[in-house]
Amino acid sequence: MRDYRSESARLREIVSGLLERGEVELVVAWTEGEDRPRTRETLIGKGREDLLRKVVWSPFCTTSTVTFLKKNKAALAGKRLGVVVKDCDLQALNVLLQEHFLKREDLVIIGVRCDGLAEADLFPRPEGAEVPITSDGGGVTVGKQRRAWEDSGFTTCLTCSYEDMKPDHVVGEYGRKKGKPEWGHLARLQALEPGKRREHYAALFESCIRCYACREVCPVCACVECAIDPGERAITPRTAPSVKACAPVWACRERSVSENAVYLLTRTMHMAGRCVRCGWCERACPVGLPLMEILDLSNDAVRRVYRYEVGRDPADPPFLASYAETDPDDKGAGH
Amino acid sequence: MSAIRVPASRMEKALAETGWRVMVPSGAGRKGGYVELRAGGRLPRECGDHTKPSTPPKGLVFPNNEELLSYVLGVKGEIEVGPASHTMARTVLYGTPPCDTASFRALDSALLKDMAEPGYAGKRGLLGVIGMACSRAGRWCFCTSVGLSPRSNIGADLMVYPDGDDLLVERVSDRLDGLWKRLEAGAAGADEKALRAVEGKFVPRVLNFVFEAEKLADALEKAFGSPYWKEFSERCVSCGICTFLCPTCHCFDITDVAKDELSGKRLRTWDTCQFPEFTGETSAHNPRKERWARQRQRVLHKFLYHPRNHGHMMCTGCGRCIRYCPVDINIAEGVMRLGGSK
Repeated sequence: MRDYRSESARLREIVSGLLERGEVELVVAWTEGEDRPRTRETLIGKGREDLLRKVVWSPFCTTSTVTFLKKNKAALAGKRLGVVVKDCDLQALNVLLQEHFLKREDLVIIGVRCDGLAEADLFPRPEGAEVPITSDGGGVTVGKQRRAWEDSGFTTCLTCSYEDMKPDHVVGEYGRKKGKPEWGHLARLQALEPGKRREHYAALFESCIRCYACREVCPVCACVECAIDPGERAITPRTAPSVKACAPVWACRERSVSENAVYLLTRTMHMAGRCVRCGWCERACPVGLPLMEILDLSNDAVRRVYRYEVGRDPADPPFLASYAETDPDDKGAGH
Repeated sequence: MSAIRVPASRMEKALAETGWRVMVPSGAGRKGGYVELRAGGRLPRECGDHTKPSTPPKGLVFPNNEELLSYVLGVKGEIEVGPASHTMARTVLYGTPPCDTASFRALDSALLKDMAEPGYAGKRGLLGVIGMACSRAGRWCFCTSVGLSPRSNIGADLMVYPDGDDLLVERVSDRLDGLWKRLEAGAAGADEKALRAVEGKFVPRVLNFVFEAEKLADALEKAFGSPYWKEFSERCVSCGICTFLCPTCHCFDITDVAKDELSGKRLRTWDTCQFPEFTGETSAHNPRKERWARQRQRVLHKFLYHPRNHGHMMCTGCGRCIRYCPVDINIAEGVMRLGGSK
């Protein structure tokens, strides 16, 4: 059984040690918020005992510290940072390192061994800081409330196979056998006749309210400016026609099946070889769209056709920048 | 008589007789919404956080996608402008919890008062709201902090208090008098005392903190330059969840969408102060480039600017922005920190 209070204490030791010794200027870690057992990403500097005290690691650390790095990239530039990551966060971090979005030498990576996540809102608010949070092979327990992993709201974690990453510091030991990626839902969708499949996706696209939460929470959706709603595209009297021509409107603001599809499918294509299947987009979606269903279309192709594993090592070439002589599509390669 | 006691089945019958479309909350959660009641369907007998869907009812009268006009360029160069295609059938919202009911006061003050906005006014005139006293507070609810309560009737045309198999119905405005007359005929009256007795069952159980509108506005005005805004929003991801799901947020964008060289339409869609380009100016200057400035705008609009202009907070304490925020940004926590009183 894992006791997250003691693992949190160990994490606090590491974080405070890094700050004390001056190995890092700032650390991005989860802290307990107002609404326990929910947690939040927080930036902690030396001397911030008030925040350090609240540093926590539990299955309720459901947000991504890598998204935090992405969102605060400009403010954190040039600073030496510590960052606490789960397995999926590290996978995402590796993708960003592969793409030179961040520099490895700027980071001290503190990895927490993750057995899966749980939705805080499914558990009662623990009264008092002493309520233990534990987990084992079967599920998560907060105080007296226990839920099986299958019943804790995080379907992507059930099929997460990523483990034994190599961060600079490690907290915790795995207490549960990792799963295997599941693609049964794709087979079921692909077995539908085209008309039905079209209806299925049209209904999905139609419900999108275009709040862009899926894009914003995604740790690897890291374009400075998204093609769908470029914010910096100012047209002034001096803007050259050539510049205007380079800023086409790919999807207009209309909320319709076709325009929403352009947004969601563009994102899917752009995520090929980059999506780490953390599933945060799907969980953040306020209208409950099964976004992994679309993303897995490209994830499956990356895995099955190209045999590429996303975010395994920061030294690997990015998916779209890698080339294999055995590429079955490369007819001109002389084999 | 301003209150009557009727069996719940009578309300069902009377509503069916009007032939109006009836919309009811479909249940809590992300897959929920305000949905049309099927013919012969049962009206909800209670309301609370468990019946409150993630999307608020504002979309009925303030749709996320609204065609304002269409245009066609004729062969001689003349432009033919077509009217807005977006219309609404006569509708009654039934069983809205007080937070969603009160949202119409905020929306009306912004979009009807002083200068009525035609698209909103047209649909709003066809909408009646039958609010219901709330019997179950949720974890994120704070209606009692913003001057409302599980039994407040602000924003309602008729207010319903469930009492066993009966309903105590209170007439709040004259907008649904057609329905009221049907209900009233032969119904037992309920005097003030009886009404208060039933109303008293819906005691506020959301006792967390109290924001005093004027004091809070003053405190927030002073806190405009506070460094706390940065801490409050450092993990904000700038998505539209807090505002799109807010029952009172009503910012929009207008864009022209060309169908081809000769025709197209003008659309209104929801917009949010949280998007970076919301305040983008033609000159490329953007006064709210930073996330903390955008979060500050959201909080101040609700608790400083709107109260100063309209006399009530632009927040109904429904808790959606807290519940659905992917990074645990809590507006109540922020407001408490900057100017609330316990």
